[in-house]
Parts: sequence; C-alpha cells; structure tokens
Amino acid sequence: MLTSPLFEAGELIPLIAGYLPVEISGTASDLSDPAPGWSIPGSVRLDPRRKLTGPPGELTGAVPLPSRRQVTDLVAELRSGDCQEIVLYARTPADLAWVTRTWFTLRHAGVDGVHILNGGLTCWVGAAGPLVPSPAASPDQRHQPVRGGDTPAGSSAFVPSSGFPGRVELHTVDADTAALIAREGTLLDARSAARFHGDPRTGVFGHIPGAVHAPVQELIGPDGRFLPVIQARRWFLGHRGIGCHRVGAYCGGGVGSTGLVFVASLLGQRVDLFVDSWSGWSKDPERPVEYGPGTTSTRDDFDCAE
Amino acid sequence: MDDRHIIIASNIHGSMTAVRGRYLLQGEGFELLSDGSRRSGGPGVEAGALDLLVSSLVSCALNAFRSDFLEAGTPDRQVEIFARVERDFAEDSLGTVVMECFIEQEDSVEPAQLVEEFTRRCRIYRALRGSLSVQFVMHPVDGFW
Repeated sequence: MLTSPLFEAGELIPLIAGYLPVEISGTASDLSDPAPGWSIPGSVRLDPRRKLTGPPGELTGAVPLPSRRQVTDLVAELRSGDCQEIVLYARTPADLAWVTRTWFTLRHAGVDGVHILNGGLTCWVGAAGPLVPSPAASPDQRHQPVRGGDTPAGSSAFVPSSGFPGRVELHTVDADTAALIAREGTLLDARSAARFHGDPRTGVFGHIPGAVHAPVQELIGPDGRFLPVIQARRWFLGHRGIGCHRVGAYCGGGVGSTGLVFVASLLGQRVDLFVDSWSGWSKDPERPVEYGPGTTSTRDDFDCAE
Repeated sequence: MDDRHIIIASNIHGSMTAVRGRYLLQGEGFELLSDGSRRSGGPGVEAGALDLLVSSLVSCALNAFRSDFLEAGTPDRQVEIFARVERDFAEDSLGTVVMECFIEQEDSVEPAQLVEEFTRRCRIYRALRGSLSVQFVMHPVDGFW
C-alpha cells in the first residue's frame, strides 16, 4: 500500500485494485483527452464543481467550500465499496486545478486516505495502464475493477493510510488574515501575470498589496506532472514560500491555488488557503488593490532604530 | 615602530546619495547601493544592512562549496543557495539564518563534510556565530517525489 499523497502511474498500476480511482473531469469533449471514452478501472467520475462547492454568498468568493456534512456524505457514497483509499486523477491536464481543489476539500474536512495521481489519465495511458469504458458521472455507478487480462492483480484489502512524514495541517484564512500574511509573511498569488498585474486605468484585476506572484502553472511540467521535489522546493524558495513564517495562497476563486497548497504540503510546508480569493477580495471596494509586478522585498523593517 | 604585520583586508567608502536614506558603498572595483529601512526613514528597497550581512555568508558558502576538497583541475561543483533569516517577531535578536543549499556534484564529498569545513574555516561565519544562529539545509539535486 502506497502512503504518499502523490502517486506515480507506474507505481499505482500494479496496485490499482486496492484503490478507488476518482476521475475529475470537466469538458468531456476536450481535445486533450488522452483516451476519450475510457477510464482507469474501478473509477467513479466526480464533478466537484457541482458536488463539492458551497453556495456563493454576498460576501464570499465565487467558489466557497462545501459544508463538512456535504463532504462526508459524498465520501461515504464514494467509499461504499471495499476500497477506502481514494486516488484523484485529472481526465485532462485542464482538470488538474479541480483535482487539487478536491484533495484540499476532502483533507480539510478531515478525510484521510486521499491521494493524487501525478500526471492524471495522460500519464496513466503513457505508462500503459489498463483502461475500461468510462463510468457515468455519478459515484453510485461504479465500475468494477478489472482483474486478470492486462490488469495486474493487486490487493483490495483496506489498509488505513499512515500519512507521510512531514504531513502538514490544512487551514483556510479570511480576507483580513490574507492581508496580514501579505504584510508579515508570504502571500502567494497563483494567477497569471496578466491577472496579477491588472490594469490601474480600468481597475480590472491587480493583486492584494504585498502578494508575491507565484503562478501555479510553473509547478507543472510539460508532461502534466508536478515538478520533481528539488525543483519544486527551489521554486517555493524563490517565491519566499518556504520557512517558519506564515505562508498563504490565493487565486481567482480558490481553486488553482490549491495546487500551491498541495505541492507545498509535499515539501512539509504549510500554506493557508484564502478560499474567497480575488473573487471575494474584489467584491469589497474598500479593500486596497496593488497593480504591477508587486514588491519583492522580504524585509520587515528591522533595524537598529528604537 | 610597531612590528606587527598589518594589512588592509577590506576598504569600503560609504557616502550619501541624493535619495534620503540611500547610501553608496564603494570598494575597489565595485559599488552598490544600500537603503535604510522605511522605519528609519529610508527607502527600504535596495539591500539593507541585514541583506548585506546574509549576502556575505552566502558569498562565502558559494565560494567554499564550489571547490572545497576538489583537486586542482577538477570542474567546480554547481551550487545554489537560498538564504533567509527567520526571526520571532517579539525577539530583538537578528534571528536564525537558514541556508538551503543545492549542490550538483560529481565527486563523493559528503555535504556534511562541506558544511563542517566551511564552519571551521570561514572567518565571516566565525565572526558572526556568537550572535547569529546559522542552519545549513543541504539538498541533493536529483530528488524526485
């Protein structure tokens, strides 16, 4: 039984019968779909936009977290079979943001045994993993794992996840705390440069003052897999995202930035998620906005002055 | 007549600039700007005094790790260092310097040996260690998840 939160396709293939693959998919007709109509054996398909979000409110961001009850009910439905260990995977590279958001949502609600397949279905196909016709988009229409044939046999016994060394807690923060982190710690903005810089003439986009531009796409390699650990650590260090200080992350709606939270957790670094993100921040016209490349200063104005 | 053999090991000229709280630091063959903190009325943009202090350690470590224990003619190691100072906000001390070092090497010298040699030999480090805690975090460059 694998215990890391991140699985490689090659290591998962012989063990797949012991896991519950959960396919996160958005647009079924996406041209980047590596195997249209086919999925990992035993998969259930989940649309987290519909099943794992809360209702947006007047002061919330666009994609609030669901209630804990909503999460536990869904997980109970998913885990109705023997397999308890969940492996989330992206149907296409475009679905990765929702994979990490689903991971965050489940783990934040206290659900253990949640993993991510590195590179998703693309890497599974690339590693010659077995495929079966895709399931319908409902957890109760589970496909049975394929046994025999070209599917290597694996254990289906449930072994509780033991976590992994350095596992970090997951926390969310509100807008005021995000602003505080930007001032005294490191607040990572996972959006594109265009969104981060914004346009002061039109007042469109921009960023929370003091935030560091840290586009999450830079953590994804050309093969759709997360960067190797050393590269990822260098990346986080270069964005001031490693250390004992407080680190937070946000994006447009609290989805893409969960990629930062996920990779940081693999490095043993806690990164708090500002779920409301820019969609919540920008609702309040009183909140300050900074435009342009932002500051790169790490200094906290410490000197010998009394 | 003093018979000690004194040399000048460093010679820096510091002067004001047109920007209040910004200073020009010049040595033989280089010059750089340094800012006072915003709290003290400086711009707080160019390197501050603490940045310069940490930079001196980083510079020393880069120089040591690239070639310590290598025989003459052996290619240098490729070294990259990310240094940060972690300080409890309530503390008045400078804090702890954490030096995360990434060393690409073909030799078999252990990173711990490199650190041991550096801390034994580096005068800058030895001058600072009484009041500044320094941690080295050594990383391999070929790590995978």
